[in-house]
Parts: sequence; structure tokens; C-alpha cells
Amino acid sequence: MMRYNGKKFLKKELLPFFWCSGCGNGIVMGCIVRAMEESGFSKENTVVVTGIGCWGKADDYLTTHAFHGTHGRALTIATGIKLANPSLEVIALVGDGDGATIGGNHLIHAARRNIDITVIMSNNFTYGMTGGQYSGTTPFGAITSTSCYGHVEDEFDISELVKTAGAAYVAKGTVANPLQLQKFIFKAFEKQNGFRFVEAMNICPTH
Amino acid sequence: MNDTKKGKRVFMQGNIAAGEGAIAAGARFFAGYPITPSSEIAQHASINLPKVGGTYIQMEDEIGSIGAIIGASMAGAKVYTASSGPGISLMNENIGLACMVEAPCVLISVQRAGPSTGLATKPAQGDFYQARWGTHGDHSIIALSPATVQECFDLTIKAFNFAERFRTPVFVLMDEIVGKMYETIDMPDIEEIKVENRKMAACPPEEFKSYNFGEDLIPPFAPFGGIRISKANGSGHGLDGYPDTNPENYDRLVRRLTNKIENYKKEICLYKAFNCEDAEILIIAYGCSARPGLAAVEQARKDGLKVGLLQLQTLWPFPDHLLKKYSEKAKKIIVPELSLGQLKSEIERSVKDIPVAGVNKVGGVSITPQEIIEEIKKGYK
Repeated sequence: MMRYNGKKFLKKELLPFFWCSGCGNGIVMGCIVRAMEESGFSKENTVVVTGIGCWGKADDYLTTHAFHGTHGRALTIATGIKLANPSLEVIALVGDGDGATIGGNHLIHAARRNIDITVIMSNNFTYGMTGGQYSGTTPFGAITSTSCYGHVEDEFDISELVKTAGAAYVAKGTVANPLQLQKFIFKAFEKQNGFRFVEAMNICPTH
Repeated sequence: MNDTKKGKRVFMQGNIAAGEGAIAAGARFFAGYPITPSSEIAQHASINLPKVGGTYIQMEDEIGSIGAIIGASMAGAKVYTASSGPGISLMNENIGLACMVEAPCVLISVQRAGPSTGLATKPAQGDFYQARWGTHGDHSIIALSPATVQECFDLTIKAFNFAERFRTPVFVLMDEIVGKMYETIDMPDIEEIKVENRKMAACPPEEFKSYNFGEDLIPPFAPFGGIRISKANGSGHGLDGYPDTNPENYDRLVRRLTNKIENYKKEICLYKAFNCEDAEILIIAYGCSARPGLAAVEQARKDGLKVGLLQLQTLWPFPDHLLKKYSEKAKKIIVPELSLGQLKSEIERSVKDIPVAGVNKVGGVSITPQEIIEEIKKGYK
């Protein structure tokens, strides 16, 4: 597995990533580009769709076709791209605020449709870019910038939700185990058909 | 109903005529969400697009609908959706996205009485400014409005041609009366229909930049999946589509997005003028209100009054130059509309030295010719 470095998919002149020191997004990026190379993707045949948030900046560093869209709407855009040109590999990179909260309805319906796209959710359990407010995956009791007395709501187990909604492939990895995470992403790419969802549990070292 | 292969006369509904126009213009992708009074357009698309190799998808909401058509457009498809005011309200965020990434798309909005759910089955023209300024931020946009079933067909084709040529969202701003009405129309021979397609990039792939533009200010297009790597970016971006927050760059970008349409205002502004040459009273109207406007002109002329009708087919960009031209002899302008004066206020902004009187109804029923004639009889007040 490690013989793939994925460098051909990275815009070297734009590195290093703008993410904070200690953020796992760079690890997820490494897993994605290596899995893309291992799966034989080309930059010409791949479209990466992002939303808004820290993880929404991911497409800036990629050499593939890319669509940097609106907050929560990446899956709707990805759906249109895939239907208009089914030969493309369409990958949506969404965060937990983006994909599981404001875009939650699009996520469950895309899973129900089982449309042929791969979604990689970097879940850091918070809105990082806006200053650490609670999201739909923030655990009960968590102290955040908008739940300073402890979060009073329960959180989504987002992988369980997507599985229940009908996705063809669901995997839950962590940036603490990049080899396993890369394997999950590779398996999602290799599956080719259906809605494939990989949750990368991440941390936000800043908030 | 998809009989556009050979020219013929057909009795059809306005909504269906818009759907026929879309397919005749080369549209092959529809994403939508049902809403009265536009749903026939979605049904028509679901029946007819598969017959021509196109795609129909019903999304979970209007936010998803416009997201899907923008994505499909950037993958190279000719795309459209149909809705009404409440649905367009949900789409507004991504209408700005379409402006920003320069995704050609046609949005058919069949107006009904608002605000909110309002009267779902009753006509209105209260979305005149929604089409222009519904999405946030400075931008330009094109909106066409048919007054007859024939125009539903013809102007929908024009809308696609403008969307493709200018790489922009284009509204077909219909209303419940025109959308639900049945009339006999001439369906032209498919070969006679002038169809425009977006200008494609032809430079070597390594030189391609997604937002590099020429004299016309419109960047040549490269679809996702091609050899030219395409970056669509709804955030501030440079010519290459990568983020750029430099103030000078962003100022240039927003001005270009506006000027690429406003510079071609004279070509975009479509209209019909009835008895305007010597008109001392000029009726200015669009959509369903142009119909009683024309009836009022015919009656007034029989009575020997110099009354004319300027029917605006293009609402945005606003045709200031046409108003100036056709109001030269006018001593009074009458604006019948199913709103409390949205078109009227835009006319007042444009024409400052002629009194403007509104004939306004917002109860969900049409204006009658008699109501306009009453305003004509008041004279030049």
C-alpha cells in the first residue's frame, strides 16, 4: 500500500496545507490521494466537490477537476455532475457541519438514491472555521463556543445514519490510524457502484 | 407532445410549451421539485427527456434541484429547473453560486401569489425583484417573461441561448395565468430553431485557465472530465479558479460578472410595441398583465385615444433605453401589474419626467381591460 504517494494529485506549489498544526485533515488528504493513485484515477477523469468549512478548502490542493460550492450543498452538485457524465469519478469531501448538519437532508437522500459517488467526511465534531461552535455530531455535554455550559443535545452517529439510509458502502475510520483509513477509502473507490461513505474521525486542536 | 421535429400548429398549455421550448433548445438535464403552478414542466421533463437521451431527477428540495443543475451544467449539459416563488426562495443561495461559477442554466419560475405560501393556485407578479435581487451580492442576471403560450415556447429557447452565450442563470419568469393557459401555437420546424451553445475552450490544456476571458468578458468553457482541468469556485477566485482574496482581483471579478451581461443589454432586451409611435398614453406591462393591456389599447384606439402598449419580454437587465425611446411622446405611463408596484418603481427610476400610474391587484385575480381603461380615462394625471 505504501508504494503509492499520491503526489501527482497534489498541487505542490500550494503546500503546506493551511490547516492548523495538529489537525488531521492533512492525514485524510494523504489517504485520499494515495488511494486515488492506487485505484488508477486520473486527474482528467476525477471531479472533487467540496462544500464550505476547513475541509471545504481541500480541493485547493488537488490537481483534479474541482467544484468548490456552497455550504452543505456539495452532494447536490456531485449528483448533477455524476448524472450528466456517469463516466467520471465523483468524490465529495464534506465536513460534519457541512455534510451532517446543514447538508444532512442531502446526505440521507443521496444515500437513499444510492447514487454512484464517494463521500469522505472529515468529522472533527465542531465548526472549526467559524470558531468552534457545536455541530450535529458534537457529543452531548461537550463544551464548545456556543455550548459553554455543556451541550444539551444528542449527537448523530453519522455512519449509522448513512447506512440506514441505504448507502452501498459505509466505513468509519480515524486519522489516528491512517493505514486503515486509506484502506477504507481505497475500498470505497474500488467498489465503483453505489453511494460510498467514509467517515474519517478527526480532531480540532484549535477549538 | 414532443412534436417539434416538423413545423405544425398545436393547442397546448403554457407550462408544456416552456418544456417543449427547453427540449427544442437542446436542454438535456432537469432537476426539480414539484410546486404549483409549475409542476407540469417537471412532469413534461420526466416524460420527454429520456426520449432524447436526457436525464430527469427529482431532488429532495429546491436547494438540491439547483445544486444538481449547476453540477450538471459544469459537466457540460444544457440544464434547467422549474419552480415558483417559494421554491425560488430556497434556490436563491445557489443562484448566486451559478452566477459566480458561471454555470449556464435556465430557471423557469411560474409566479403565484405570495408572500410565503400565499395563494398557491392564484396568479401574481410579485417576484419581479426576486428574479433580480433574490440572491445576495452584486451581480447581473437575465429574466425573460412570456405573455402568451407561443412566447412560453419562443422565450424559453431564447433563455437557453442567452444562458449558454453569457454563461449565466437566466429566468423565464412566467405566471400562473400564462403557465396554465391553453392556446394554439406554431411549433417551428426543429431545423429552423436557432440554438446557441456555450463557447468552448480550444487552447492547449496546459495553458487553460477556467476563468480566463477575452474581449467579450465570457470565459470559454471546459467541461469536467475533459483534458483541460476545470476549477469551478463559488468563493473569490483568480483566472485559474483557485482562491484569490486580493481586493483588486475581487473588484475586477464582480465588475466582470455584471458587465458581461450589462454590456449586451441592447441585444438581450426583447419586447413588443403595439401602437407606440404616437402614443400619448403608454401602457408598459409584461406577462399576464400585457394581455388586458393590449385589449385596453384596442378599445382606446376605437375611441380615438392615442394609447400604446410596450410589452417587456426582457425584464432584466432592465430596458431603460427602450423606455426612453417609446415614451418620447407620452404624457402619462400606465403600469398594470399583479403586484403593488414593483415594475412601476423600476420605471419611475428610469423615466423621471412623465407621471406613472399603477393599476395594481394582489388578490390573485387578473387585471381587466376595463380597469386599465378607467385609468386611461383619468387623462394625463
